[in-house]
Amino acid sequence: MSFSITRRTSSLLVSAALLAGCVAASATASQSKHTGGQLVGAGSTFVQPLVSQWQAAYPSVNGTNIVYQPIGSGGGIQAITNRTVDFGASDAPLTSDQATNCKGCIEIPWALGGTSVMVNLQTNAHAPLHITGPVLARIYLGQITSWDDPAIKALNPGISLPSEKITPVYRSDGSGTSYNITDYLSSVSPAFKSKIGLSTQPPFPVGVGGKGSSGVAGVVKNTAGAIGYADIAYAVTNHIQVMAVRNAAGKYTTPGIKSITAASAAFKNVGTTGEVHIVNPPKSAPTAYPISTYTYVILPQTTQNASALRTFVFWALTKGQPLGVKLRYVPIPKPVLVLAEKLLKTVHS
Amino acid sequence: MEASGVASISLKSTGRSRRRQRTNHVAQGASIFAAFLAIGVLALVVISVLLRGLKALNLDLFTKNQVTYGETGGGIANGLVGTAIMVAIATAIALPIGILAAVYVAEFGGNRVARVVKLALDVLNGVPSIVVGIFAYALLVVGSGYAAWKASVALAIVMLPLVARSTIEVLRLVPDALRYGSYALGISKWRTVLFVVMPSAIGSVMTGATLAVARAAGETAPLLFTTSIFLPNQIETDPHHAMAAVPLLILFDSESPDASLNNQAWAAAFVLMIFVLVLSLTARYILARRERKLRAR
Repeated sequence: MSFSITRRTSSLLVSAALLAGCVAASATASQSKHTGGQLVGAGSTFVQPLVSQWQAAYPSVNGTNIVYQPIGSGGGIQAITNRTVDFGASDAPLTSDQATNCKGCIEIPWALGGTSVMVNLQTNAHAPLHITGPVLARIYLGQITSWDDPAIKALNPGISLPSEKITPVYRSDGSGTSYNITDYLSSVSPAFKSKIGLSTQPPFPVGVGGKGSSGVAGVVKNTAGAIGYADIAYAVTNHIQVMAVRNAAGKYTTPGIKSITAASAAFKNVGTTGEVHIVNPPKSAPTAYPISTYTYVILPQTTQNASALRTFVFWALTKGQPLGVKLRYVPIPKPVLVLAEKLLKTVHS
Repeated sequence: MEASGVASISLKSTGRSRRRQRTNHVAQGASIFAAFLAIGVLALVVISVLLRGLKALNLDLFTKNQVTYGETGGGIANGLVGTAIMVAIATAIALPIGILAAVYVAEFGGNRVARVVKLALDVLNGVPSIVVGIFAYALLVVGSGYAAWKASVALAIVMLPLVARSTIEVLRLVPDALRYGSYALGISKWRTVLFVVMPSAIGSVMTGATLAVARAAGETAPLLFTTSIFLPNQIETDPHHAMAAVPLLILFDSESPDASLNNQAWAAAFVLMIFVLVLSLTARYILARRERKLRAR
């Protein structure tokens, strides 16, 4: 009796093993096209929609798969510092402490985009609602709490704003997008600068958090009266309305190819380190969107994957740029491209 | 007089007896309620996950891979394959070690050693899986990156105490008469263990292992630390690369602002839950039957 049970069990086991083998074999067969290696990256959710485009296009160019996890810029810096990935991505430049910890890392601007101010609000407006930096700062400081506040009404004449509670949404994780918007708000609001300042994890006194740009977009989409910030691609793909932000010239602009291009063009001096700030461009750029940013790839200067990384990042900087246009990423301008290529050449094995 | 006296004795309980009866009713009622609550919670979880996942519970879920950002549709095929491979490797690591450790404890080790090993296994079993994850991260991932085999090592650590403990219990149930019979025929101890004890216990050992597989398939924390950066839209079969896994896809899809991906997360949760439920219920059923048989001998 015991022997027959044993036999039955072992035959069960054998068939289970065979089944597993079949699954693995069929999976291998379906995947035989893929011959090249992998480059693994993590970080910025701001740039993720663009990286997704690259992920789809790059293997056919080179046979290398790009693996990317949007864990936030803070997470990306941590990951490359621990060398758990081949490249990190961050919209915030490395702080000097982070640069020291990262031991020979280099940041290269590889994409240009705009941080949109997303809202979930029913009004009679047919165009984007207006907002200014100082008013936005007061919302995130908890000083303006209702959509029918006089400060918002004054910017939107003729629009009937509901008496609805404003729910500010921020990034709960370390975020380059948070860095970008606090960079902007600090430059237009002294009160914001002294209370919050520039930060990848700003200590906002009000609001609710969302994890990653997707998380913020999700909370805004599902919360009536919410206001949040994320790369414009998230507003576009998730059909969330954005606000028009007043620039230094007094014009209201939304993030788009022209307005982000104008913002980047307003800053002629790109420096030598790769760190380029383009928030709150001067009056001389009337069409510029004021919350634009470069976003960076962070590479270890000495790595055994140097050649594969250089090839990929160079492709991203050149052929990869036009793939982002439909998602409102602007191809990076010539002076920055030249700088980026120069920096890229310093990566070696 | 007498008749009316008899009639005046009420059969209704009074005083202390009544209070006891009331206490009994309350206690019994509460425990019955609690028992049904436990079943109710399970039913509620199964039904609510099913209802929410129903919209995405279709063939595409099993045959298509994840989509990249901005696309809709897709499925969890890459996660299913990843989970299958990683759990298989973890089983291949945990099973031999767990069984050998159990054989040592049950057949060879002295009482004191057995106590120490069993205590160690129990402590290991109590270690939260997130701790196992961060351990694997610090030991294997930092400096060299994510890979499926590293996830398997972490899962194997979760499985090891389950396999070893259940094997010890099963070996203890094998009647000594079998061992004595074997010794009486002049067969050495290692041969007795390998060819007499193990064959009569192997079925139950395997069912114990199945329970461990069910546990590993649903673990998330060790995977987050070891294999969370993977190709979204391709099936990965190289264990040196990171692989998708069903629990990770549930987590990532549930955080998406895209409602169809949220539905997919629910559907994936339902699939995972049913897999684990069926596996562990079957294993438990077979295990109980076998143990009855072994005891009856």
